[in-house]
Amino acid sequence: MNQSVAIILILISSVIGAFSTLYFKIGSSRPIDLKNTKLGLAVLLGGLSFIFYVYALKFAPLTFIYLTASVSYIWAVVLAKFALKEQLNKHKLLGVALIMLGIVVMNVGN
Amino acid sequence: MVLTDNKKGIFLALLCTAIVSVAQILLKKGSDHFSLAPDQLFSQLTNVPLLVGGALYVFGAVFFIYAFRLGELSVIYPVMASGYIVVTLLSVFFLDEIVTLQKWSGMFLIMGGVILIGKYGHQQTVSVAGKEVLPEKEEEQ
Repeated sequence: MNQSVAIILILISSVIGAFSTLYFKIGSSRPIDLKNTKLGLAVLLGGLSFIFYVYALKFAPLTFIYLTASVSYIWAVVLAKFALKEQLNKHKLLGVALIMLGIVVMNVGN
Repeated sequence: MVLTDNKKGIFLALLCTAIVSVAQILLKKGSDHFSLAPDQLFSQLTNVPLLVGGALYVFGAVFFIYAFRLGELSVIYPVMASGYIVVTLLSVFFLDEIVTLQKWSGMFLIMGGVILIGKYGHQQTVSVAGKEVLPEKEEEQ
């Protein structure tokens, strides 16, 4: 029961975190100042994601956390393609897969 | 050699990763003496690793934004995964942590992924009057 709560919280955290990253990217092309609402939104979403993350830590074993860190690369690539219209190629996809696998291998069972 | 925007972005992303990794090691060191108890609060002002670590974090954030400004999200974000490698290596040298064979394997996978994206995952450039430039992109709202 607690673990399913944790998984839901972690998923919410990672999706909000992905949108935070997206808005960092969008906001980065404008001057860095207090009028940069995109960067402001990025920081806000980052904070919100962090709150869900810390809350999930109460319920979940740490292994789950590393799975989320790993999944965040999928969100980044999906948002890059559909929100930013970036071109994906097989090197990017294979590279992201290796990184995700590497994060899991580094952390599972430790 | 003409640097595409992604290459400059990747350089900044690696710089950002290095700065934030050093910050994390310093924060870890500083956290040994960290306390929010009222009588301990004042002594945090002399907790040098904690203060320098925190300052480096902010410094790293600026590089983070500039890296994103220059490069693609689908390149810069994965390249920052190199932080896993840097932090682990630094923790061996400065925190005397032990790295298992399993961790080394994971680090090599991550390194392989980062190199693949950093070297071959580039945005396609077009040649205009002998200069490599980025293709025209639609303005994002």
